[in-house]
Amino acid sequence: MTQQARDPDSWTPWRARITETAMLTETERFFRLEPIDGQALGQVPGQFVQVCLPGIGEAPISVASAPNEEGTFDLVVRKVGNLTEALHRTVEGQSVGIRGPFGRGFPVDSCRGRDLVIIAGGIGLVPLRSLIQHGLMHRNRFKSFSVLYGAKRPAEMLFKEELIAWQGRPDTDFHITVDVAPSGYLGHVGLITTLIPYLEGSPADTSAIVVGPPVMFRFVLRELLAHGVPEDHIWASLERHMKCGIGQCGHCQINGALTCREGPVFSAQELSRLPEAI
Amino acid sequence: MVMLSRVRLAAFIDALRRHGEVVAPRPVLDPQASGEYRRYEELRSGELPELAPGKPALLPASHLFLPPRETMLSYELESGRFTEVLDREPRVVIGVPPCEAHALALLDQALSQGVPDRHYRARRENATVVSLACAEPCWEQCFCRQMGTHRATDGFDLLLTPIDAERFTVETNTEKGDALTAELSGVFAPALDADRAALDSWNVRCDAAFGPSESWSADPRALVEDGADDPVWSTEAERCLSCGACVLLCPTCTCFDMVESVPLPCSAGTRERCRDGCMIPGFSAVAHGADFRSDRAERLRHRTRRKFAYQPERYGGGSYCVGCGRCHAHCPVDIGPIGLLKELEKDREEAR
Amino acid sequence: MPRPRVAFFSFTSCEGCQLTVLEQETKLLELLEVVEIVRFREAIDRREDRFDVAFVEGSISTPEEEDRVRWIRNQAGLVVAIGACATLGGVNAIREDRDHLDVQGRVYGEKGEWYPAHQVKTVAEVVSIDFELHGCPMAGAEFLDLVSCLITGRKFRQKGTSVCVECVLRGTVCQLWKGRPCLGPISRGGCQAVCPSQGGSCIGCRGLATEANLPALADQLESEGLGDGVTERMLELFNRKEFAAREGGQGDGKGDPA
Repeated sequence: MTQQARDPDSWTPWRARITETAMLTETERFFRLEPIDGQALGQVPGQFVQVCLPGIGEAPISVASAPNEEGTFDLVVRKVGNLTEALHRTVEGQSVGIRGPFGRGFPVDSCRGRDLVIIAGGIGLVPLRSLIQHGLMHRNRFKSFSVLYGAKRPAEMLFKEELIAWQGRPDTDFHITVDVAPSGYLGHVGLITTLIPYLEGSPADTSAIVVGPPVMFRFVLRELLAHGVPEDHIWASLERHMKCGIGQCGHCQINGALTCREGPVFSAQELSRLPEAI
Repeated sequence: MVMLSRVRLAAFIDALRRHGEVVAPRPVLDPQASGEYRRYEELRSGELPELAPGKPALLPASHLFLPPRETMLSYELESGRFTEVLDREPRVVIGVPPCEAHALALLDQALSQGVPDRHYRARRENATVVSLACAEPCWEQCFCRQMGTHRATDGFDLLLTPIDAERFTVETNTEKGDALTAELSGVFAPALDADRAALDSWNVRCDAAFGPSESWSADPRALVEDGADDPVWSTEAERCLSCGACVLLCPTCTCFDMVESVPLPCSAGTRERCRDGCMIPGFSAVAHGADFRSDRAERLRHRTRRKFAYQPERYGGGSYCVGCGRCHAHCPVDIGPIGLLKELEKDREEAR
Repeated sequence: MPRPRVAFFSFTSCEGCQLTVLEQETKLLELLEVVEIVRFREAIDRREDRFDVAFVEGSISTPEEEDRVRWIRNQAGLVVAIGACATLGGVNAIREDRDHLDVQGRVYGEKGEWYPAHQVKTVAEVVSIDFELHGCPMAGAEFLDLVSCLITGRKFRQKGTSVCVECVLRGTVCQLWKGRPCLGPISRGGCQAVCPSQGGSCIGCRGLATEANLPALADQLESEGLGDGVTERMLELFNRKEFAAREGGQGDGKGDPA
C-alpha cells in the first residue's frame, strides 16, 4: 500500500479501526486501534491523540501504549462527556478519526541511566502504561525501575492482568496500594505517599514521573522532595480542556504555557513557575 | 511612493475589484443610532469607500480573517470521510486603520508559529490590505499612541495617507503592494518632492495630535508580570458581567470553540470553529467539572497578562494590545486596560 | 430502523414554540425524513398515544395539567420542555406573588372558583425532563440541532454564555450605547441575539447566563439613569422564579441558574 504522508498540521483526521474493545472497569473502556493506512502512530510515551467520530465531536485522549511491532496503539476511555460516551457505544470493526500524536511526552531520554520511579494515581496509570511498556522494553537504559500504583479500591484497578505480570518481574520493583479495601483484602492499604520512603535507588539519581489527581500530586511532590529527588527530575502530566490539540484554541492555557504544546508533561520546576497549574 | 487623488477613487476601486471582493467600513443603518457606527462589509456595485476618519468599525478587520464562525472540515457520516475546507476567496480590504493593520501583523506572526493556522493563512494570503492613516485619535477610548500603533508600520500592502482634502499618498509595504502599484500606474500620479515633504509634515502633525503618553510610563509587560497579587484584579472584576464582549472584539484574540454542525437529515456535517475567549465562564473548565479559572478576578488577570506578557513572550514582538479601545468602549461596566495599568503602576509606586 | 415517534403537547402557553417548528418551512421536509410526527394539534389531525419523544410547551398551572404531564412522562422515552413557559414559568409567572383567588376572579369573573389554578410550575418542577429548549419562543435552529443530536447520538450542548457573545459577533450597535436598558450581559444566549440586533432590548426570555452578575448590571443601569430598579423590573417578566430565588440580586449570582 502506498504510504501517504500524514499532514501533522491538518485538521483532517485519519482513520483507525477498532480491533479490540472491552470494559476494563465499570467506567473505563479499553480500545486497541489499528491505523487503516498501515502507518504506525509514532508516539512518544505521554503524548495524546485527538479522537473523533463524525457527527459527534472530538476530544483529547492519552495514548496508553508504547510503539510496538504490530503498529497498533491503545486507548482507555472514561465516560465523562459527549465523545467519550459515544466511544463507549462503538464496536469492534468500527473506525474512528485520529489526529496526532500531540504534546510533549515523558522525558525518556533524560531519564536514561537514572533510577526511574513511576507513580500512578488512579486513572493516571493510563498514560503511564505507555511509559512502563517503554521502560520494560528498554530495561537496560535505567538503573532501578520502580512503579507505585494507587487506586481508590481494588475494583477500580486498571489493567489487572498486566499488574500481576509486572509485579512478577524480578527486574522491577512494583507496589500497589488502595485507599479502601473490603475485608479479606490481602494487599497494601494506605496512601501512595507512604510508599515513597521505601523506594529503591539513590534519590539524587532518581527521575520520578507522577500522573494522578492534582491533590495527589501536591502530596507526592512534597514527599519526593523530602526524600531528596531533585525538582527538575520530577515530572507530572496535567489535564486541561482541549479543543484543537495543536496550540490554537487557547483552552489549555496555564498562565503563559499551552498544555498541548509545552505539556501535558511538565517538570516540577516548570510547574513552580505556573501558579495556575495545580 | 505614488499619489492618488479622490477624483480617481472610482477608477482605483474598479481596478481593485479585479483582485477580489472589495470590503470597507460602511456606515451601519440604524434608526436608533446617529450613523456614527461602521462595519466591514462588501461594497455594493458602484459604491465607493468613505476613506474618512470615524469611530473604529464595530468588529476589527482581523475578524475578516478569523470570522465568528468558520468551517474547518466537512464529512459524510456513513463513510466517515473527512475533507478539509479552506476559504481562499480573494478579498481587498480597504480603510484599515493603523492599529488594526498592526494587529494583522501580530496575528501573521502568531498564527504562523507552532502549527500554522491554515484557515487564517488561506484567507490572509488571498487578501490585499489597504490601510488608511489616522490624523488623530478616533474616539476617546483609543490609546494607540501609548501602544505605539498610531502609525501604520506593518500588516498592510498599501498605506493611504490623506495629506490634504483631495489627495492621498500611497506607500507600499509588500511585494503584493509593489505589484499593485505597478499595475495601477494609470490610476496613480507620481509623487513629487513637495508631496514627500507634505507627508512628513502630516506625520509630524499626527504625532502631535495623538499627544505624548500620559496614562502610564512603566512597561506594561513588567506591570502585569509584577502585579500578579495586586488587588486591582478583584476590585475591577467585582463588577465584571462576564458578558465576553472584550475578548470577542479584540483584534488580537484568537481563541475558539469547536462545534459539530449536522443539519437534518444527518447524512453529512461540518466541524466548525467559533470565537471564544478566556473571560467567558467555562472556558477553562475540564471534563470532571473543575475549573482552574473559576473566579472573575483570575480571568481578568489572565486576559490582561496574555495581551501584555504571554502573547509577546510566546510570539515575539511587542504587546498584543494595540490600544484600539474596543474592550473598554464595549464593556457595560467600564473595565479597560488603561484603568488596570494605571492602577498597577500606582500600586507599584506606593509600594516603593 | 424506524424513525422516532415524536409528539407535541400544549399546556398553559400560546403554542408559539410549536409554531416555530412549522416556521422552519423547507427544513420541515428534512425533519419529516428523520422523525415521524404522531401528534401535533397545530399541524395535523393524527393523535396517537404511543411516542418516543414528547415536546412539551407551556407551564403547568392547574391540577388537571399536572395529571396530564405525568401521563406524558410515563408514555415518553424522552421529554423535552420547550419555551420559556415550560422552562422558566414564562409570562404566566407574573401572577406568582398575587392572591390566586383574586386573579381567578379578575380573569373568570363570578365563576372564578370553577377554574382552579395553582402556583405556576415549570415542567421540570412536576416531572423529570431530559432536555430543555429556552426562549420565548424557542429558537428554531436550536430545536433542529436537538433533533440532529437525538438522531446522531451527539450530546446536546446548552449554551450558558451571555446574549452579548452572539450580539457582539454580529456587529450590532449595543443597546446600552443608545441609552436603552438591556439584559443581554446577564441573559442566556443561543438566540443569535435576535432582539438587540433588530433594535429591541434583550428581556432575558431564555433565562440567566452562567455566573450572571445581577447586582453589577443593576448598579450600572441605574447609574446610567435608565431608571431605579430597571434591571429588576425587566427580570420580572421571564425570570421571576429565578430572581425570587436570589432575593433581590444578593450575592454574585455565581453558579448554574438552571
